[in-house]
Amino acid sequence: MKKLTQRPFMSFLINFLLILALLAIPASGVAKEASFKLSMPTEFIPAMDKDGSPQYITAEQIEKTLQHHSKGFKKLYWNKTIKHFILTRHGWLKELLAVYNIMLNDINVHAKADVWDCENFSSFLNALATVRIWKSGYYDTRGAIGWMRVDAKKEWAGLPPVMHALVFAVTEYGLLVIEPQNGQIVELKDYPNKEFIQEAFLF
Amino acid sequence: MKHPFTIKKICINLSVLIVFFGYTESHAADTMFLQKAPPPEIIAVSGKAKLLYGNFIRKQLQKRFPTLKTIVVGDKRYMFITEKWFKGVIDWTEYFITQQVPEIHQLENLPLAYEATFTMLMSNIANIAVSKRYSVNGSVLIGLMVAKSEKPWGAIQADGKPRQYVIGLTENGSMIYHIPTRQISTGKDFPNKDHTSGIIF
Repeated sequence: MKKLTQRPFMSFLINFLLILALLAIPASGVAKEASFKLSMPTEFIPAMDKDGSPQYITAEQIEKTLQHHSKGFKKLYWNKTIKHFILTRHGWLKELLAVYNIMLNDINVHAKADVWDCENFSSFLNALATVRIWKSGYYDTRGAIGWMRVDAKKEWAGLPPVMHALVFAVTEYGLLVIEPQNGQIVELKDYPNKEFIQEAFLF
Repeated sequence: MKHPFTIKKICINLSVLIVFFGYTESHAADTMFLQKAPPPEIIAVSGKAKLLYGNFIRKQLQKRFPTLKTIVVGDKRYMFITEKWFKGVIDWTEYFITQQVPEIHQLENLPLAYEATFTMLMSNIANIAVSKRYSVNGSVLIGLMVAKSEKPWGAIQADGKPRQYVIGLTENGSMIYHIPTRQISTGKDFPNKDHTSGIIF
């Protein structure tokens, strides 16, 4: 009698352990070796006009703004076939920066001279943002997000005053300067090294 | 006395938890599962990475391409990679973009900023791979090149329009890759090398 009641339970336990083993294989076996998990920001959200349409800016307007604040500004490099650049909603930009930090932790990459330096931090973020904008169906434009070189004379965002690369973006709050290594944001007018911006890249 | 936590109950609860976490993880909108990029292959001489200085590269490019108006060389030192790995990173970059935007190759035209974005991703992906495997203070020399199409090249017509290419430095010299047509050539054999107007590394 005792044996009869134990059998269904034993069979359940064996089945359960079998399922558990099968579930564990992709996580610890071959699949984990060949692939990895990467965090990504959610769907791109543009800054909107009052009528609900996305806001855009031209490269000339961005160049003019940079020239206005920086006497030493030389050039904005941009793709002349792109007439308008879509503005990012501020909230999405902040999420992008937070997820970028998680993503770099996921892939365990750290600052290293030349091979992974401030230019890489900046240009990689710039390219990732563009891909996320495509994912939302904006193929005939590009984000008003780029990167720039600054011959910094003052410390900002915990980084020393040296030749440095940073990200810039235009949101509903205007042109912002971003330190991609720690996600700090400041409006261009309040950026302590604004007059030392040398060149910017919008492609 | 019957114990409230029988093995059977514990097993059922564990199953529910496994199914729940498996479900939430696989359906998280902010997570991607990617195949690993091919392992980096850099060129070494006497056990040390073969490096070129940024200033030297700038002078060489000016000499080789007299029509160059824009040269941007951002890093101090650059390394050579194998041609095989250069092609491997091209494939992986395309895979990375397609995983995020699967419909991209069904579009009539590629997005406007496609070539430059592809090149930036490719260069950074290559540098991430190198930085994780080797202890070298040098950047992979992968950049964006602009040249006017004065001479035909495979599927590309000689229409005089400027086109963007990926340029990389390998053991076989420079390699030029045109992303939309997937054509590849050595810098030496690239038909429009005399009409290059800009290179940005």
